[in-house]
Amino acid sequence: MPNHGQSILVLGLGNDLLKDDGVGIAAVQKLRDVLDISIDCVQASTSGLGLMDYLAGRDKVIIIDAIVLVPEKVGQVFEWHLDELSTGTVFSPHYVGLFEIREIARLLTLPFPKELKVLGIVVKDPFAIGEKMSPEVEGAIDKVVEMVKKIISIWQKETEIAFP
Amino acid sequence: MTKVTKKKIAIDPVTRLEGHGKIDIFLDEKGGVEHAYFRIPELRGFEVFSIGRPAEDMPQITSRICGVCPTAHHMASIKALDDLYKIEPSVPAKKIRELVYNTFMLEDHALHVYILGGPDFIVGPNAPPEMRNFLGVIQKVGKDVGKKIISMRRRLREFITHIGGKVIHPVLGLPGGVAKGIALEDLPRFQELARDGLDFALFTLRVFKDIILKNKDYMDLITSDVYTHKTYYMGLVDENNKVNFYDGQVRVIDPYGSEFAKFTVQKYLDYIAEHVEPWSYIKFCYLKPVGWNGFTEGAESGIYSVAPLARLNTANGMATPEAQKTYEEFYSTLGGKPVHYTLANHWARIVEMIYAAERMNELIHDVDITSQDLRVIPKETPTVGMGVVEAPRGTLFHHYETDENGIIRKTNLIVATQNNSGRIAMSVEKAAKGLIHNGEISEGLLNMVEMAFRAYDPCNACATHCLVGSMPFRIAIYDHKRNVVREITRVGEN
Repeated sequence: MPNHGQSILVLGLGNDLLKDDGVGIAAVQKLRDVLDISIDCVQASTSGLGLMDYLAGRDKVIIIDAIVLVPEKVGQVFEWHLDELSTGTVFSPHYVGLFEIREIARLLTLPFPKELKVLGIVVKDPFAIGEKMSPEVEGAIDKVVEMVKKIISIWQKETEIAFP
Repeated sequence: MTKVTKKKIAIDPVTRLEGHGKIDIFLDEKGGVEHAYFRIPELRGFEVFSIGRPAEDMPQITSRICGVCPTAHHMASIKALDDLYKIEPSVPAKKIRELVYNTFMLEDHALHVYILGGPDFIVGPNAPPEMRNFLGVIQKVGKDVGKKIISMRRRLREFITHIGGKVIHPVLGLPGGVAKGIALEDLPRFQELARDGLDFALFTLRVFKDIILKNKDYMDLITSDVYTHKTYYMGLVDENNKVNFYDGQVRVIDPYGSEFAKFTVQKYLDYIAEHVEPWSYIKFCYLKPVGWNGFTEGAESGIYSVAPLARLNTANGMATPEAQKTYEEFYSTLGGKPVHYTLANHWARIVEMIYAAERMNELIHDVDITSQDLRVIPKETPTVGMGVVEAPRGTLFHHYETDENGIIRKTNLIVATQNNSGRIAMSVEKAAKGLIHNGEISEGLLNMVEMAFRAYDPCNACATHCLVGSMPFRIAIYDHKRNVVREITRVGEN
C-alpha cells in the first residue's frame, strides 16, 4: 500500500533476554516480514526520555510492549491511544514517561507524532533471564501482527482520503 | 500534612531511580520511625543463563541484561576477556575504548543531573511532585536549555552508536581490542562534539552553582547530619592516584581519608565479601579485612561506598585541568577530605562530567585515535578472567571462569549499587528517622527520604539482576502490627 510520504514507525520495546519482556521485540521481528518496507520497524530496549530519539519527527507511531497486569489476563493484548493511557494504570517499565515526553516535546517545540498507539501484551514473567517466552505470551504475537496491520491500514486510508 | 501513628510506610517502586525498588518504613507506637528498609525485587537466573556459553558472548549478554548502563557492563566484560586470554590490547584500541567510555559517562551523568536526581534541587525538594521532574527543570532553566540538554544527549548517544554499535547493546569490544576504528574524515565532527560536550559540562556547573551553591537552604540540606555517613570509600585510580573510569587499580580509603587498600582487580575477593539479610534480595558488600559489623558507620564497620563522591574521596585529584579546579573548589567549600555528605554526590557528578568531557577532548585529538592497529589476537588458553571499570554508579566487577575452550563455568558480577547497598540502606533509615516524627508524613518529607538514596543514582536493574527501566513507585505505611494503613502510588520516569 502506498504510504503517501508519511513517516510511520512500529517500535517494539523490551529485552529479549528477559523471557516475556521480549514479546515486543519478537512481534516487531515478525512484522518486518509482513509490512511494507516504507514502514520502519525498530526494536529497542530504551525507556523514558530515550524514547524521544525514536519518536521525534515521526508522523504516526505504534509502540508494542510487555505489560504486567493480573495473572488471568496473561496473553491478552490491549490497545490504547496515548490520550487514553493514564500513567498510573499500566505497569510497564517502558511506557512510563510517554505523557511527559509529549509534554516535553510540546514545551520545546520538538516534532511529536500526531498519532501514537500503544499495544500492550500482558505477560507472566518478565523478571527471569532467559530467551524463551511463556506459551500464552508467544501465542499473542500473531494477534499483535493483525492489530498492527489493521491500524496501519486505517491510517493509510485516512491519508488517501486527505491526499487522494 | 497527614497525621499517622503506629504505621509502616512503604515506598514502592522508587521514583526517578533506574530500576524497580521499594521502601518500607515501619513506625513505632509513637509515630516515630522504628526501621526503614530499601528493598528490590530479584531477577532470577543470570548465573545459570551464562554457564555453558562461550565467554566471547558475555560482553553482549551482560550489556543486554541492563538497558541502563550497557556500556559499563560491556567494558567490564571486555576487560575480563582481555584478562581471561592474558592479552594486552593495542594502545589505539585502549584509547578508543576509553573515548567511548567517557562519552557514555558524560551522557549518563547528564541524565542524572537533569532528569533523575537534579529535579530535587533544580526545582526544589518540597516542590509538588508533578513539577519535580524534567518538565519542572525546563520551566526553571528555560526552553533553550531544555533543547540543549535533549540535543547533547542525543549527539553523545549517536557517537557511541557510530563507534560501538547500538547504545543499548554495544558491540565495540573484542578480547584484545576493538571491532572498529575511527575514520580520519569523521574526526572534525567528533572533535566538535567533544568541544560542545565540554561546554555543556561547564554550563552544567554554572547551573549548579547558580541554583544550589548560592542557596543557603540547599547547602544546609546537603551538609545536614540526616544525609551524612562516615564510611570507607572505593574507586578506581590511575598511576598518579587520579580518578579514572576505564582503568587502574582499586583504591579504598578509610573514614578519615587514609589509604586502607589498593589492589588490582584480580585480588578483589580478598577485599570484598557479601552479607545476606532476610529482608532483601541484594547481597550487601563489605570490606572483608574489616568485617561485617551491621549497618553501622566508622572505621570498625566494613560498609563502604562507591559512585561519584566515593571516587573523588578515594583519589588525590582529577587528571584534567578544569575538573581539577572544580575538585579543589568542591573540597574547599565542603570542609576538606573526605566529604561524607551523601547529597554531595550531585556536585561530584558534575566534577566527573567535566573530567569525562575533557578526557574526550584529549583522546579525540590523540594521534593514535585514527590508527587501524585495533586488535591483538589472543593465543593463551583461557582459565579465569576479571575486569573492573567505574560505572556511573560506582565500581563494577566482572569475573568469569571457563574451561580450556573458553566455555563459561562460573560467573560473578559485583555491580555498583551492590557495592553501595549497605550505605544506601543506612541512608534510607537515617533520613526516615531524622525526618519523620509523631506520625507526620508529608509528600515533601517522603521525597526527602527518597533523596537519601537517589543521590547514589542507584540502579536496581542489575543490582539483583532486576528488570530494566523504571516502574511506578508505591509508598505504603505500616503500623507497629505490620498493617498497611496508607499507600501512595507515583509514576516513575527515567
